[in-house]
Amino acid sequence: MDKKIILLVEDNPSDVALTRRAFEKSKIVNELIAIEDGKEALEYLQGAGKYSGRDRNILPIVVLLDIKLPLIDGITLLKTIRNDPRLRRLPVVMLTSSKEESDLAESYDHGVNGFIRKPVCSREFEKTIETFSLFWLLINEPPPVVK
Amino acid sequence: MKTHIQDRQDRQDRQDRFIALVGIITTAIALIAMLGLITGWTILASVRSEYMPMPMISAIIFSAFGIIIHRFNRAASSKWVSIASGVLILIMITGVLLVLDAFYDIFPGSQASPYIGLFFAIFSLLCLLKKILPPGKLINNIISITGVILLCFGFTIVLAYLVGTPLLYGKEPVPIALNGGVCVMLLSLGIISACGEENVVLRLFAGNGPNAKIQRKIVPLVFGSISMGSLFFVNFHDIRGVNYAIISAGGIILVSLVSVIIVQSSVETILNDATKNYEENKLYNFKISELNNSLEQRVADRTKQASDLNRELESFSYSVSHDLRSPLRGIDGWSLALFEDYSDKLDAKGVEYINTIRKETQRMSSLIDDLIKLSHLSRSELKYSVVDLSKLASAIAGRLGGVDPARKLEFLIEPGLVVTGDSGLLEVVLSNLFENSYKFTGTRAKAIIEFGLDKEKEGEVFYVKDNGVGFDMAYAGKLFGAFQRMHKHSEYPGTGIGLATVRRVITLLNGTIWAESKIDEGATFYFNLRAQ
Repeated sequence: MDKKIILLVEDNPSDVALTRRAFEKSKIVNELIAIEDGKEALEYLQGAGKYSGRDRNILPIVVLLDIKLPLIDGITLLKTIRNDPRLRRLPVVMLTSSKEESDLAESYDHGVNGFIRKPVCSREFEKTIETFSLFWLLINEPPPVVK
Repeated sequence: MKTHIQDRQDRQDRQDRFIALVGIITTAIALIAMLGLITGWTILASVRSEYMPMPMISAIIFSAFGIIIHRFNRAASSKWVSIASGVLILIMITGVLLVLDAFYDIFPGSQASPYIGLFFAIFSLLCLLKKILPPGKLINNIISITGVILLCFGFTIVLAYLVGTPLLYGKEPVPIALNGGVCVMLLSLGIISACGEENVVLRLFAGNGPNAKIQRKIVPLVFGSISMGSLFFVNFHDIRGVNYAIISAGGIILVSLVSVIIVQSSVETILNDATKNYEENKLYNFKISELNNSLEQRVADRTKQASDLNRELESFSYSVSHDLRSPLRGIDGWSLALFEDYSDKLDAKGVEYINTIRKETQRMSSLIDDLIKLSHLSRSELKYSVVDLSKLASAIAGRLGGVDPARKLEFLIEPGLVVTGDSGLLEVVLSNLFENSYKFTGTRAKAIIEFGLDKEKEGEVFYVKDNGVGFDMAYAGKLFGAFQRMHKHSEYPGTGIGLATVRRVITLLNGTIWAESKIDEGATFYFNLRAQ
């Protein structure tokens, strides 16, 4: 069985490194692909632009999406994913500092599959990542690929 | 448009000028009469050769009255006042003597009538009263009504001459001169005017009211037409060949004509007034609607400014919530990484430093959370409903009671306190105040926290009272400021935002909050809410 990819869309390299570290500490061996902006993330998923050679049928098991992103922000990216016939089933979980009501509402309105508020305390963050991985990689059944 | 006060001042000036004029005319008539008596050209004293001339004593007194009345309403030196008072007393005595003369013949061969003597006595008394007594409504009314009686007396004399009825001007023992009657009338008018337009008589005639305007037309017309009619009748009734019936018919026509003129002019006065009022109202209404429009514009502008500001604040707090937390997470994460990966290269002190960094990070994080909560408060819309504060307080007390089972707590909550307000915000108020009390009673063997309605204070004033460490009232001004702390962090940790939040909420609910305390004797927080 292929190793399932986790896509992390996050523009802060420090955050990316810490998230990667948390995954490693939870003994998650899946590949974590980190992309810094929303536009590139979309290109990755659609196999376009820089990623035109990529197999479009291999989709991440879950996308971890920050809300504040350069070029295309998280909510807009979520909307685009939900409106793309091939990507619409893709599980997307928001991973953000914000718990603004408007962000929560918009995310769920556009069909987000989860919303995680990054805790400031790193220990808690590690626990959060562990629980997240446990659920999405082991417990949850992934959606069938849209042919 | 003239203001009411200007209008009143104008009327006052007119009255003063009128009084001065009356005084001048009276003095002039008296002086002319005197001149006539001295030069022997008596027609100057009697008006018509067959009439009674004004006697010298009356001429002197009338000219003195004229001068006094002329200066009546003007500011006067005390010297002038004392001279005038002396003269008035002298005239009063003379007047009384003239009356007595009719019975005891004090002045042999006197030409002055006892009736005019009585007038002198009464009039000088009125002048003295008016000058000496403090101005008041009652005294003004008494003087002006007496003035009207004297005016009628003067008019009777003049009328008597007009209709040729010696009986009325006092044929026995000595008749009153025609110019004497005129002087009596003038002086009476002067003293009535001196009582101000608020007096019972002048109120009927002065001012801009329609009634006064009509009175001012009718009275001269009626008295004038009667006088003229009488004059006409007296002078023409015995002309040979003129029929009484014709004179009567003429009289009837005259009376009818006068009535028509009176009615016409009254109606015109009323209509003019009504039109003027209508025009003024229209102007006022126009101005009001103009003001309303500009007010609406200003309100719209302000609302826009406020909502712009609110939006700015919103994006600011959004940035705070997103961007401030992220570096903090970095600091915490990398400190932990440093500890985990390099703790073998750090001594105990180095590890302690790392722990301190992480603790401070947590503190900063809760500060940011509190700040965001505070900014959320001012952005939320108020939802008013009936809120049971007692129930709310009991729930909070229950929650606090479970925090630390080792602590001894007593909550005294007055039941049935109900207000109208936003229940979410009121919960914020009560829980912050209770948590505050809970925190600062930590050193007490038994903490007592009270909530109730203070019946001794005016209005509906609620209070939360504790037996904690209290605070120094000298710093009470800092109590409700954001990030203001009254105690050392090591003793009582906190962000210093709780009470700032409480005040923000109370302000949102149109209420006020204040506190009273003494060091080590507990603190009481009072607040009220103005119902919407």
